[in-house]
Amino acid sequence: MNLLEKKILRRIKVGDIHEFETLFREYYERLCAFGNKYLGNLEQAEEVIQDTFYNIWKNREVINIKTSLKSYLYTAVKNNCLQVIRTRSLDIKYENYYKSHYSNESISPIDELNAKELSKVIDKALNSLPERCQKIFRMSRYEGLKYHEIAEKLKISIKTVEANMGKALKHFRGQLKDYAEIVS
Amino acid sequence: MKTNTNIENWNLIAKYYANECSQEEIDNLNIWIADNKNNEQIFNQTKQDLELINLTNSMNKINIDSAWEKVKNRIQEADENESVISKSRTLNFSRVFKYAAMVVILLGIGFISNKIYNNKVNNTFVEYLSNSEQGKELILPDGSTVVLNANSKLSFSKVFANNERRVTLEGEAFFDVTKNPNKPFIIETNNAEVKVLGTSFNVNANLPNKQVEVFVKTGLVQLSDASNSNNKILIEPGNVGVLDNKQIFKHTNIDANKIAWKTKEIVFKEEKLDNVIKILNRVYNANIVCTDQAVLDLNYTSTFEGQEIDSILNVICMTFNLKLDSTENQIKLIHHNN
Repeated sequence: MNLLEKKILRRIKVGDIHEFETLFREYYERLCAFGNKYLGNLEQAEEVIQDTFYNIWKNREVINIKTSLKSYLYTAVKNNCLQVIRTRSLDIKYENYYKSHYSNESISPIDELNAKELSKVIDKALNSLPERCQKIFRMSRYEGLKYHEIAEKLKISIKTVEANMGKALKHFRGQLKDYAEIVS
Repeated sequence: MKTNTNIENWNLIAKYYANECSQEEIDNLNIWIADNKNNEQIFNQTKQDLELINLTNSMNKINIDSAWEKVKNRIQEADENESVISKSRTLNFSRVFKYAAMVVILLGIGFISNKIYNNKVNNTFVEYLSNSEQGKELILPDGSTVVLNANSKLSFSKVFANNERRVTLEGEAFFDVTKNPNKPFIIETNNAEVKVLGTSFNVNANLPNKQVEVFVKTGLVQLSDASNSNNKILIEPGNVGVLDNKQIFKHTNIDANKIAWKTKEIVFKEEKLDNVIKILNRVYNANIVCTDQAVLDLNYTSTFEGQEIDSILNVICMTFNLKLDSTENQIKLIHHNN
């Protein structure tokens, strides 16, 4: 733990809720994205993160953190997600799958990625597409419309929808290259 | 499929991930993927891209403010329950006992304080006594921090009023006040009222003749006579304001060790050992004595940062060939030859 983290933790231990709020705000989104990876459900992930923070506050006086604050948070979230999976499905195999799948204790760089930062990259990539292409992509990915529905709405052929979707994905691949390299 | 141009494969990949492919198209795609590693990689990476895009899209729906509200409410509810439980909890270990003892004192004096402050029923008073413990850091309801010197006492309302933040101090404390221009922070001590909007400063009411001394580190602080609020001065950073029997004045701080009791940063510059001992006693709430006038007249120059009193004394002893004679509540400096 570095000095700053020690100071943060010390203040939290003596009951400084403002310091705790700062910590919460700094990590909340990132941890939600991380929890979502396990649970496949952002709402549930949010609940887990809130529980995790609540419990940290409740036990703040006795908590003993040997690693960095960050890896403590990620590990706590991971364990709590596995707990949710365990109670959600009584199938032990499922849990084992997750455990083996994410057995590596280390946090992948993508987990540390600031959600806002990623959001900026994606927005930028999307906005640099031609307007019609953007519109088609949004309708398909965000609104869940079928190709033929998009074609009807925009009065274009299904082939045009296909071509624009292909174009959009190729474009994103180019823009997200750096991020995806971190992931793989 | 090898004859396909790249863009057509992108169309097929997109179609696949949009669940628009016919069985024939899926078969074609599989052949294309199996054809070489590069194709397979593009196919898999596109999946990751889409996952990132999906995640980001749903992340935008996250509302940190409301999430924090939820957590905070749970904490507050738990705190309220906790205080009910703690009254009936048996005193298992010394730490709990210490807090319990504090509560007892709190009730005794809190009763009087309540009387002074208009008998507000729901205005619970909290009182902290530092006893001989030095450097106790308190967090006030508004997030301001107070470090108490030894033998000092701070009392304040658990919930501050709407228009001001008022605390009462006996002894000495260092304040780091959070900024809130709408709610001035007021410290009552002896006959003085110290008023600030957000700053850090040291208040010492631990002086003879009910003197109050305010040393300002940052910001602007107003010191006034509690019995005559027209009698007041503004104190700028680096200055010391003094209220001495209805007289208020200020001067530039020349004491390098003014808040050393908090910072544990001590400077001795050509200082007589007599004074060095006085400063150390004040800074560490210690009881160091020396009766040898020849030793007391020695000049000492050095700076210390964050050191324990023992190691400072050892350095001094080595410098002047002295030795320590420690008893339970006193440390005596004597010359080695004696």
